[in-house]
Amino acid sequence: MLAFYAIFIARIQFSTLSFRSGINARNIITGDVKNNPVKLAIESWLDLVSAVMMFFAAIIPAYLSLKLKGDISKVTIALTAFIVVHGIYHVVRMQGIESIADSMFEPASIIVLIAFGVTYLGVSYKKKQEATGK
Amino acid sequence: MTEDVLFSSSFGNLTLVLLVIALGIFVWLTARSRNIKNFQFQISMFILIWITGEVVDLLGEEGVVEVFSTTEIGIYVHVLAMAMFSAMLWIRFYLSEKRGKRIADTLQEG
Repeated sequence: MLAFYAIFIARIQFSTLSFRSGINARNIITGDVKNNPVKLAIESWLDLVSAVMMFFAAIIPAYLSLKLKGDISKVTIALTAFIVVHGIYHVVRMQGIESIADSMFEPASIIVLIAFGVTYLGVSYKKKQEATGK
Repeated sequence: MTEDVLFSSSFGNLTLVLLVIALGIFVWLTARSRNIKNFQFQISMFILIWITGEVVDLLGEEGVVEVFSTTEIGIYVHVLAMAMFSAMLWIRFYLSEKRGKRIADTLQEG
């Protein structure tokens, strides 16, 4: 009985951390091969680790975006946006909403990564033009 | 179940295509700078590891390689890419602070 209450309280306390070993409508409806609770729990922990690492990495470009002015700030803002969107992707996946995470947040984060690359290309091209013009 | 696998693998393919485009841009930037120590090269390596993880994941989802569908190797590779990316940014920041150089200068080099 005590164990039941402990589990009940833990589920309420950590309701935001949905370790997908619980009810997952998608898996029940589709009979998904990923219905293994151990595998889902491991995946959730890996998503948590990835999300923490991404948000930790976002500190540096976010700090630079606030500190820098001019064209280089556009590059750091794009990098921050990529890291934050990818971090959100891992948080959404961790919550068990894998289909939305994989179909929306992951492609969105890569599109922002491409935008970062294009911005970088534009800024370096501009810098090269200025250097040859001098 | 078949529809679900098809749905997830079609987005997996889209992700892969987008990643290859991103890799192309950064490889181009690396080739222009002709320096493998720079930020562009490190980003290319990060994307390459990420692509490896995606390919492993797709092969597992479609049941091409049995080992990949029973284990989480693809996700471990993805986590490795994220760890490398995070470490890369922090190490670059630490080294630029240590050398008294602005990290923005190290980003712009090349």
